[in-house]
Amino acid sequence: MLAVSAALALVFLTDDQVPTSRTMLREPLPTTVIVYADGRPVGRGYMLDSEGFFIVPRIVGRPERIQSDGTNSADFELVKTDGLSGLSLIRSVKPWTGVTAILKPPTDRQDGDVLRGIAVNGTENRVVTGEIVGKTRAGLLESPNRLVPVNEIRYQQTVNPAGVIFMRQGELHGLLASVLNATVTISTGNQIQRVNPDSAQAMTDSLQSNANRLEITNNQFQSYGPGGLVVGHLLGSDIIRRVYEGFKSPSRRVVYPFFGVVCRNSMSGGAEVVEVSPKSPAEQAGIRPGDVLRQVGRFVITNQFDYSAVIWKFKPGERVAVGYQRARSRANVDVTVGGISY
Amino acid sequence: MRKRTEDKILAAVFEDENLPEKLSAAEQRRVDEYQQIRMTLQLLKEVPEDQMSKERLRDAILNRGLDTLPPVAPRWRWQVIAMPLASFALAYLGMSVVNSMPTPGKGGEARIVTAATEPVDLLPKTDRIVRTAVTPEPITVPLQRSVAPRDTLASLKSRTGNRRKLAAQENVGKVAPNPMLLASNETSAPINSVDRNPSTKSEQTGSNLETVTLDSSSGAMNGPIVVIEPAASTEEPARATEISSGAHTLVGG
Repeated sequence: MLAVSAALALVFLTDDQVPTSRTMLREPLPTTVIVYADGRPVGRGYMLDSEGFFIVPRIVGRPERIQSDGTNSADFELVKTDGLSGLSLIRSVKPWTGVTAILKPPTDRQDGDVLRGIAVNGTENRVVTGEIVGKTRAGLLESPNRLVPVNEIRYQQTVNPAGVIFMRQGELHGLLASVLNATVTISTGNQIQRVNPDSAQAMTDSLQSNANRLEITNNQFQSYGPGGLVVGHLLGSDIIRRVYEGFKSPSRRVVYPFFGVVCRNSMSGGAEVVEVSPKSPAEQAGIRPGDVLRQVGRFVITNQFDYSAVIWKFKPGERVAVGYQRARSRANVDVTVGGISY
Repeated sequence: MRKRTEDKILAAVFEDENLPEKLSAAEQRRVDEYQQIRMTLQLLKEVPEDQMSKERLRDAILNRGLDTLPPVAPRWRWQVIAMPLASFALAYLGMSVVNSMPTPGKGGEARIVTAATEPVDLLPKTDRIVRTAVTPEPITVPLQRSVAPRDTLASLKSRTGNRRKLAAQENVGKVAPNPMLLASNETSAPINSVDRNPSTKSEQTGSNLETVTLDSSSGAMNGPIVVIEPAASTEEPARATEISSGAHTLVGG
């Protein structure tokens, strides 16, 4: 009976599910470096190719050097930063030899996928393990104001996760884009409310002035489950794949599809254009503020989010038929999708 | 009434003993009362068979024991074999009927066109206004064929002949002139469709429309939107806030 159980365990336990930190660290470490800027470690870089390029979290501060866990060390230069994903490309000023890059573009993620990354705590490596619990979320990046697919991930808040790049069997699965905002629990007598920290202060001032009994518990992050799991968001694998391919391209630029309009919800259905970027494909096609986009390609646009989500389906240079309404007239126009780098 | 006389009355009524010889009026009323009670008790019906009580169950077990059920009659065993056979036969018959029906691409029959998926509002509305808008840096600006406002107006003019409305729209068209674009449009841009009736959308767009979902690599976007604020520093991750309504949210791309 024991033998059968052991055999079944070997069959069903994949590498992602083996819960040992040694296994988790073994794979990515040889091709990773600690990045130093302003005299301190600021993140961990992952080797992109044999030319000495590394993908790292956004570098803030004066670049200094990269240090492997072995003896390799070299100064580096910042090549490019992708403002949408928050990933940077750096290059060692001297050849980085003796290590073969294993970084691969991401595959499609599924709910239940276990990812892991390494957080740099001083010069110490800490493994951050997370599980994808929702692959179909939508994230609105306030800068540059675009709607992107994100994956909801839950992980244990053992370290500060800023700058952690999640991996899976050598695949780059991207930077932790955000952590669900903190909540503040306010208890007044028998009433308990969870509110946003921004509105908590005004609320507590009001309650204090009324001389109510007040208990406030500040949670740094919204947590779930007995382990206090934290909810975060990874950029969708489509975005990360664009970053990977862009950084590996000769131009080292990440290009995203772009029409050049800002939209809001139209009361009559569709996406109402409120702003058209100068010299953008939309302006070239004659789309003007006030037009209501009804159709892009073969996709019906019912609100501004439809429009923002549909753009990701096209590649720069692709011709797309756009149906729009101006005043009481409807028209179709062909637009060649442009490209933009952030 | 003394207790001794009371006991005798009870014994006489309920145990069929002899009544005392001399009874007072009060004692005689008591006798009648007890006899009425006894008669009423005798008229009570037995507990129906289908009302199983603990006592009845206990008595049944103790008195009759747990009798075994009689075995299944041998004449019903054929059903065990017949029922699967009948199921297979029905399934085979059903498949034969289905295969004999015309299918797309077979024998020149009309193709079956599946309808587009039902429209789903992918993303809920928010009341939050996101004002941040980064001025993008376009990389490629291809010159496009597009709808020329003048052509549109000309089409309207020919249809309506409403000069006042046309004059107003021509003024709108002159607000942001783009000579290069207009030149391009005039030479090569046909108007695909112009219709003054918004209700004829389906006629313009055809039946192959789809609702908006992202690629399988990205997945369809569902659930509340999370607004991701830029990280304040590299020391901590960016913060996200869930919003449930996006009616006034501006998005670009």
